Amino acid sequence: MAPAAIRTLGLTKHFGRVVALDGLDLEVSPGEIFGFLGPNGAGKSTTIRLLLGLLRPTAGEAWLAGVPVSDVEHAHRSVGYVPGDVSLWPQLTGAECLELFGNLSGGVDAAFRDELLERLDLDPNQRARSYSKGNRQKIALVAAFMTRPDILLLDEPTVGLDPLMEAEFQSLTREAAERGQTVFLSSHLLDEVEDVCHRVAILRSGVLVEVAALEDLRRLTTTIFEASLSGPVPVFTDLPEVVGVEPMDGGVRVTVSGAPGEVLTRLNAAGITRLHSQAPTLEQIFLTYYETSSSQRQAVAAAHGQSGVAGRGGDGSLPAPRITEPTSSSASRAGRPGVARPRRPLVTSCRGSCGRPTPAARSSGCTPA
Amino acid sequence: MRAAHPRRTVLGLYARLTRRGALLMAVGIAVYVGIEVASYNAAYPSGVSQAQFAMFQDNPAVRMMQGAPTALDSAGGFTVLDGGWIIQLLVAVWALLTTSRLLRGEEDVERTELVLAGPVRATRATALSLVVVGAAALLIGVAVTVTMSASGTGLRGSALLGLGLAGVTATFASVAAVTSQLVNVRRRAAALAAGVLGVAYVLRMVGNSTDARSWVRWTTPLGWMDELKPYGDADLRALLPMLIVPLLLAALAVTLRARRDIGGALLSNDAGREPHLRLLGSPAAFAWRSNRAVLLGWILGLGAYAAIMGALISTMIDWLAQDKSYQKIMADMGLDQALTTRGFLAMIGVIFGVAVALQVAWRMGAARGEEESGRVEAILARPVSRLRWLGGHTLLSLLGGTLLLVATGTALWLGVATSGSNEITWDDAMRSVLNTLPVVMLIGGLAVFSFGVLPRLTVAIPVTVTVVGYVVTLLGPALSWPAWVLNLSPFTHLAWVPAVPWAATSGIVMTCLGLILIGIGFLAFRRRDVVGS
Repeated sequence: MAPAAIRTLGLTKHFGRVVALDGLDLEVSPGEIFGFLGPNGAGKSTTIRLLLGLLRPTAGEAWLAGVPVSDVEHAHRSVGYVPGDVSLWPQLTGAECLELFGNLSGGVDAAFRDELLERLDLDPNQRARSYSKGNRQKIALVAAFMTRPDILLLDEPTVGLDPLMEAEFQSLTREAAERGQTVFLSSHLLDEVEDVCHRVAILRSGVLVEVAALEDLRRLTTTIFEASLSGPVPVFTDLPEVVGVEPMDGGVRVTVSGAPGEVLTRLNAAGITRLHSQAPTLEQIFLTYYETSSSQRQAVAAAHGQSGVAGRGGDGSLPAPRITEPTSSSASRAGRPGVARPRRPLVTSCRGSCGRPTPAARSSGCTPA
Repeated sequence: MRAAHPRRTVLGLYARLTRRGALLMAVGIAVYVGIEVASYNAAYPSGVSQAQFAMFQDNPAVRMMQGAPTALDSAGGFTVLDGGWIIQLLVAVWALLTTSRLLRGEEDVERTELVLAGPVRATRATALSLVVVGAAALLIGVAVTVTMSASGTGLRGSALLGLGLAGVTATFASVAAVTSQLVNVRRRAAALAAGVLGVAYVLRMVGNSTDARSWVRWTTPLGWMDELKPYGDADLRALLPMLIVPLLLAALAVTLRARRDIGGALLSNDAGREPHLRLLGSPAAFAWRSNRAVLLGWILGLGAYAAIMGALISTMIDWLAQDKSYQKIMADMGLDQALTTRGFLAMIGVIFGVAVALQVAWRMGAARGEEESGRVEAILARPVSRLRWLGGHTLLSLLGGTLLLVATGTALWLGVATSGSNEITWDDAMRSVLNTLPVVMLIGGLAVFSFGVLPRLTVAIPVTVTVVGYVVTLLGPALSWPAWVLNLSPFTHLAWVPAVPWAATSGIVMTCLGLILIGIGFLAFRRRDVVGS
């Protein structure tokens, strides 16, 4: 059996007294697109820099394609890397940077490199100092993809790219995965990984909070129905699968966790004039997840166990949930129809109300009735 | 809520970025002039005689290198002649490095735009940083004035000397302020200003070569001090250009700043160009490509200096042979061997050794710069081991240092040959500079060691050891310091080559120490994190 593309075992990094990463256990299979999520300072870049051997672990071990990460001459033959903050040599042109990187890595597919430059719409004959942040990012992307490495380690690679280029990046990522390349994509933006990733891990304050297949998470979680009704709003309090009810203008917004049949029956009986259903975003999934009761949490954990995912959740040891909206109801805000959902970081702001289910969150119906 | 004080805040920021260097410079220069006064009082307790005065006056070598002597019968006048020229060069170099860092270096790393995003105009920020450098120039001047007058050289002369040095500092700061507007990338702005300094020095040599050409001194900032004659028959008119030129150039810099974009420059052209793909094949080749221009600059600069020194050796020796008091200074400093041609050659060989050791330390600083900027990660994320990368930089530093020594030795010999002397062969010249190779190895090793163990001090540690070590060998014997202190300096262990044979044992020991330090540095770098700024 082929070794895992990326494997870490108890990977730990301390900077002085600061614990940047605490006992990370992770396994990413070849060909997988793996999302690595967390707010700023969660330890995402630290993890990637440990995987690259740029940082030395305080404890634990890591392997890339079965090669210990300390053996960079072998491990890096199969790696492409896009750093979060791309620094290039100001006196070199983009083409010269790419030549240097290609010579160091070996195995450049020149035709593919030219294709990448064209697809990312980049002029390689400019000096690096005159490149914008986005263009420096593109150079790093071309350099990482042009050797078709087995493993791509991408640290917030789309920061600085415009939406068009971001879409191009996503198709490059998918093509890479189709060819069997592994993509490790760190981000603090949920919908960025949501669109491309097979599995996601969530990191918070150096601790792995959760690893899950996107499918599993979606199955476990909620769907939001927004119904405009001609009749009175039906009663849902007796239905366990309904986790939230909120009146809206001329109708109701119902959050359902589980089979929606009975809810739809009752809505239909009340005379639906318009129905809008929304699959939850990752953000909603995790917000719901953290605000559910411990019994539900255990059900989630059990499901993760079935999917064979290494995770730290499940029992009472799960870290206190801190992902919460400080002000208005999360479900109602995120589920508002017709409003373009702004890109929101995983933790928007959690000063003050950290870790405590706020009255607002309770009344919104996020907690089970 | 606190009220906004954008100007005061920006001023405070630039002051903070400058204050440590300015204080070090002020203290260093004050110590330097203090030592000059002390050595004059030791060598000429009853002042300089008319005959000695005439000897200084008539010596073209002294005049061109150091300036026309005035008021040599006082410690102040001696200080101006003996140390004034090197102090002027030191403050000028400091001023142009500091100013180009504030006005261009900060912009290169995109920090300036954070400042300019506040309610402060770019021209105002430029002016404020020049105010800070101007204050630093005054600080240096005050430090010199206080030290000199406290040493009993008279308040009026001391104040004029302090003002003069402040004027030179401010002048070259304002030159760098203008070059920082003309070209982008700090290195180029500093190099351009250094070129102006070089021209100014050559003009001063011309102006001081004979009395007939003394008017040329008015054309060069380094000549204004010769006109000022702080301790002699002072010509206060020389203070005018020192005040007006910096102000005019500063105003020009601010005006030019208004005419360019951030990151832009008036002369630079960042248009696209065809790629140059040579020397991009390996980490070492690329390191050579990135640093060869700097090495070439060192070869040209140090080579020119060596050629001038070589051309002047026989004149200097003849002159020294006549001055018993100066011979006494030399003897007190343990330099009596330098009174022969080959001994003198040995002495200047060590001076070049100091310069090359410093160059090697700075060259390792370039490797640290790659790490600090995060660029090294783009290399180490590829199948390149840390040892291969650092090994390349180490090898190039040491080979570059050796090449620089060989070039300097050759230039020295060329200088001797053009002066018509046949006392010194190419072999002698080469041996005098290569004699210092073990020290260069040791300092290079120390730089690699520092890079591995204390990366933020990669340059500071070896440079400090070099400078302090050299000062110890210069002052220690005169001040009768104990032998163990003298033995701490690597320069103590160099023989007077080619006057005497090479000190093989200490040479081998220092080389081995250097290699051991390199080994420790390599191991430490392998074990530590790659750390940015």
